[in-house]
Amino acid sequence: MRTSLSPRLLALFALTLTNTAVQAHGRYVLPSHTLLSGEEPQSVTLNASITNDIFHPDKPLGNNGGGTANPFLLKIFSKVTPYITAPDGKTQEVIKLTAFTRQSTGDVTLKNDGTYRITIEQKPTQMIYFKNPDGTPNRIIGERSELPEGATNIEVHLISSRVETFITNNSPTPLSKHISGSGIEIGGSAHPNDLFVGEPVTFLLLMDGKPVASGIEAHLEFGGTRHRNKRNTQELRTNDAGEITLNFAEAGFYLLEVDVSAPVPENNEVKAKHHSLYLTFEVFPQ
Amino acid sequence: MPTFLSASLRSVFVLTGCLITSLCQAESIALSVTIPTLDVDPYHRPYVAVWLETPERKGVKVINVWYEQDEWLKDLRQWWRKIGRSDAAAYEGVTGATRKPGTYTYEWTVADDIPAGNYVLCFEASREAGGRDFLRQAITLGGQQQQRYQLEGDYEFGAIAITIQP
Repeated sequence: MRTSLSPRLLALFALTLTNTAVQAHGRYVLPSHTLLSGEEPQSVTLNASITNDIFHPDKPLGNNGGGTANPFLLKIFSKVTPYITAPDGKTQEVIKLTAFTRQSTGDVTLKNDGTYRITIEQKPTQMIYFKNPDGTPNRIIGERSELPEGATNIEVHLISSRVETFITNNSPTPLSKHISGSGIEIGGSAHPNDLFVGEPVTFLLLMDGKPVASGIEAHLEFGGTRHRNKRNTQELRTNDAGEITLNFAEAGFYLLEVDVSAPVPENNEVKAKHHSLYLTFEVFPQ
Repeated sequence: MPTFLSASLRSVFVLTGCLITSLCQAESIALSVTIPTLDVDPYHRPYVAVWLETPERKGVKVINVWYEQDEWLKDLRQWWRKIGRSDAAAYEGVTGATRKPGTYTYEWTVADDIPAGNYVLCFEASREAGGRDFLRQAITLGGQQQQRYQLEGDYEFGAIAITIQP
């Protein structure tokens, strides 16, 4: 495969190459609430999944809370940490997610006023695509030493992602408080917990804390893809400032996906690095 | 007399008129808000917020909020985003319990710190296990004429009558 292929094509390639190319699927974390009010601490339930149907779960995502999953998924989960960042942008607490057959579920409690950030972070994970001696495609998560004897067409990819959402208890905190400087993140003066139908909103996309280049692809999908015939994906590209502008025609939950791939020079052990952001937004009616 | 001077004189006169009016009797907004009887079971009384915002949709003043528990204030979504969530003090003195179906009339004396100009009067109702209604009416404050407006809610509000008395 040539290194000039886009992450989308890479994902497609992965799909055609393997039966269940989990990493090529979409991911999301869906909070029961994104806005909270009142003096008392309140809890929000999170559902997370690896799936191609937006907000309709297929496989769990994360299991540090005592559930079960198949060995392939458990290998992915060993690289996955779910955590919540407090409104100060610093205090982080691990979230316990329990894997069920189709999704992972956990609770978070919000004690203070402000915006909390939910992150399910997958550290760079080595995925090796190859062909078995009989020519059938396969892939493993792990090291070259774990490949079957006689494997051919070996390609090593490093895959990482952030699966995120924001929740605001009473008054919102500016996004700038939350910039971690690691991976793809949203920034700018707009707020992910102040989204309404018919009000376009512009977010800055950051990669490792710096605005991304112009022309980076992003995809916005309205939830419920399972129950309509067209996905109606909004194909977006960053402008010169590294910003994207989102338009919401309907109220509900949306998923923003941004993928950045960096090919690694020839002769390197690793073919390419892929990093993705999957960000869930809730949009309210006027 | 040059027209320039005459225009200035006129504005001085108008300004004085305003001043005298506001001294004698402050501008007021009389409201009549109907919460309709709904044939639903279970029925919960709606949470209601009435407030003033700028034409740019920035919250200015809360006129009243009828609610029971602050946990559900967020469901008055527009009011919550514009005023409620960032400034609890802004509605501290104007809250009340939710009301049963009926027509409620009350008067709000336009606060001294609100400059004359164009505003939007907003009405939002949200009901547990029910729906939500959001009505807006452009108004002018500091004018010389009485203004009357009649709004009709979709479901959670019935008729709303607004009378602005200079």
